[in-house]
Amino acid sequence: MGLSNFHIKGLLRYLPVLLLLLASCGVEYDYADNPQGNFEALWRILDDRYCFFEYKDIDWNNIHAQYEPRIKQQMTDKQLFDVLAEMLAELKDGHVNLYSSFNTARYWKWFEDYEQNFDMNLLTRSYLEPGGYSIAGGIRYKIMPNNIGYMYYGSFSNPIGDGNLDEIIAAFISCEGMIIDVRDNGGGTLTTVNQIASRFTNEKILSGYVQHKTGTGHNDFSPLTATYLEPYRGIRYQKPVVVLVNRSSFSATNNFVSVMRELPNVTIVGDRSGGGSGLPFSSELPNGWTVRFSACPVYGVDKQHTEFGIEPDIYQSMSTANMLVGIDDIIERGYEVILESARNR
Amino acid sequence: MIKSLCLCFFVLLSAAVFAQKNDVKPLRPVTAATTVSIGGGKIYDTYLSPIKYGGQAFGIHHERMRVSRFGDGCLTSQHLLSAEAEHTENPAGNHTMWGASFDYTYGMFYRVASGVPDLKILAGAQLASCFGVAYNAHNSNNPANAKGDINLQLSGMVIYRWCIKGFPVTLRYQTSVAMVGVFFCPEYGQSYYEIFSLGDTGGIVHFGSLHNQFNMQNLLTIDIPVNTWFLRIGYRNNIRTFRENHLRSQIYTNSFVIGMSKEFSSLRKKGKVDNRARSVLSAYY
Repeated sequence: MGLSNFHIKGLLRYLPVLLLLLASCGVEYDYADNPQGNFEALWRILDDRYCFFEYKDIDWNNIHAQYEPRIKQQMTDKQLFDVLAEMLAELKDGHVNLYSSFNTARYWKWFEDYEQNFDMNLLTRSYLEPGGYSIAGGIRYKIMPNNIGYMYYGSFSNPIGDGNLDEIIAAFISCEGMIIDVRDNGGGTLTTVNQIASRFTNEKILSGYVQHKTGTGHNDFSPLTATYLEPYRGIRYQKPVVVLVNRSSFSATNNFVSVMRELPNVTIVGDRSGGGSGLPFSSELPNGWTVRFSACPVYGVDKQHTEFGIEPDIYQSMSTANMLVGIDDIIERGYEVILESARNR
Repeated sequence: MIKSLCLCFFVLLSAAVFAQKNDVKPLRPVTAATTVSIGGGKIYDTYLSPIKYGGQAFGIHHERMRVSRFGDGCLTSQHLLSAEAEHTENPAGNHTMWGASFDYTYGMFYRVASGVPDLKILAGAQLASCFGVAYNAHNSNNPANAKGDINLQLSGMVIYRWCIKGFPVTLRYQTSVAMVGVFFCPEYGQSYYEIFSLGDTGGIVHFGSLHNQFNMQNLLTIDIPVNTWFLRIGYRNNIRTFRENHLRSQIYTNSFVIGMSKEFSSLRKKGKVDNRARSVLSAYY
């Protein structure tokens, strides 16, 4: 009983071929890589995963009906991209982008339709002065002539170490107060928000809520999860703090403003923040284009969305006349707030 | 009287020696094999992308088998340790997804009587654990998805040994299927920021069975003697899939396997009986 040598030799002869065949199974695709397939994939990804349909009162099925007739089998990649970009703009969301090798679709009306209220050149020329400031972990800082500490943080993606913050706060310890300028800061890492904000509270406080989608339905959300800000176990700042904001203070920066406004010594000055309260996820289309979209809504402590920005405590814009003579009205207003607080102490 | 006592003592001593000879335990050599695998890999993880990625899979595997000291030679233990990585691309060829996993599996098998001396049929259960990750560098807040599961598996193995021109060749096929266990899966749109930074860990560990997961391993190998060791070549198939929280995860690898195998035995003389005088209970050969 058993296999004969003839069979065994045959098996051994064809074994490498058999093994290679088994090892080369192909890849299947769920969507066709053509204009229709890419359109359907994009629509479906957002239908399943985008988190603000109800809040923004968007009828996504209607959007499909509106844009689907514009998809033609013979259209070029650029034509397809333009239609898809237009469809995504219906979401009015700065976190929604479509990336191809030749273009990035974006919705930037949240700052393009408003005054910029920030001029980096003016800031550097008239306030920081070239060579007159220090840089620690992506933060530019200086003690101004009126004894107010000023720091400019341009991106929450720029890493900061606790040692950097120790040095900056130690430098400002004898100042009347400090200004944190996050204008034109387009966001970055949420953990950095807490890392900085934890230097300005002496007790654990509620800082907001977050939730995520639990299914593909537009209202399939988890219960709200509370987020807390805990005081840093080290050097913390106890004097008045002013946060300068403009319409380009977006995403994680918007969250920073949302957290900082809950602190007693903090005043928000400038324009409304840019919003962008949805934690963005990414996905992709069959043709390799990447889509980014808001997936997890982040709320303020009042359980309200901050997707369209946060009102400042004190509205202040920059006048063109003052800009021409090197004056940043928002910084000047920040000075006033701090000096007034110092007088009242 | 003294003669009678001496005679009795001699008979008892002889009986004791005879009994000791009969109690000599057979050698239970360890069959240890180390192999590398190379082949095709496929990753489909809807937390990261709705597109199926395909590419290459690489791995290194170690296996140890031994007849257990319990069970009167009918039980065989098996340890499997694997590290596997996949490098895959999307069909458009502009995004890369990496997969990596580490597996440890312990199994105990019962040798079923086959009636054929050179044919071993083993059936048993395994406790299998696997931890890994799928990583897509293009994604923003969902760049990676962790994998982790512990399962009780059913496994079967057939080992057949025959000679080609005096060369003992050993063919083995083993298949394992996970029956029950637990596995990790984030909620549908849950970010790892929520899990790790905010500590929102509810609902991420799930009971797994055939209704929501299918894990299967197939291994087909041929061992060819070379000097004092064996060349092992074969095919390895690994399927790890689950469907939970409206998410799907599928990782498939189909690989060509090559490596070496050897039987090891303790040089210690048990009961002063030379190893050469002991019978051998091999788990594999």
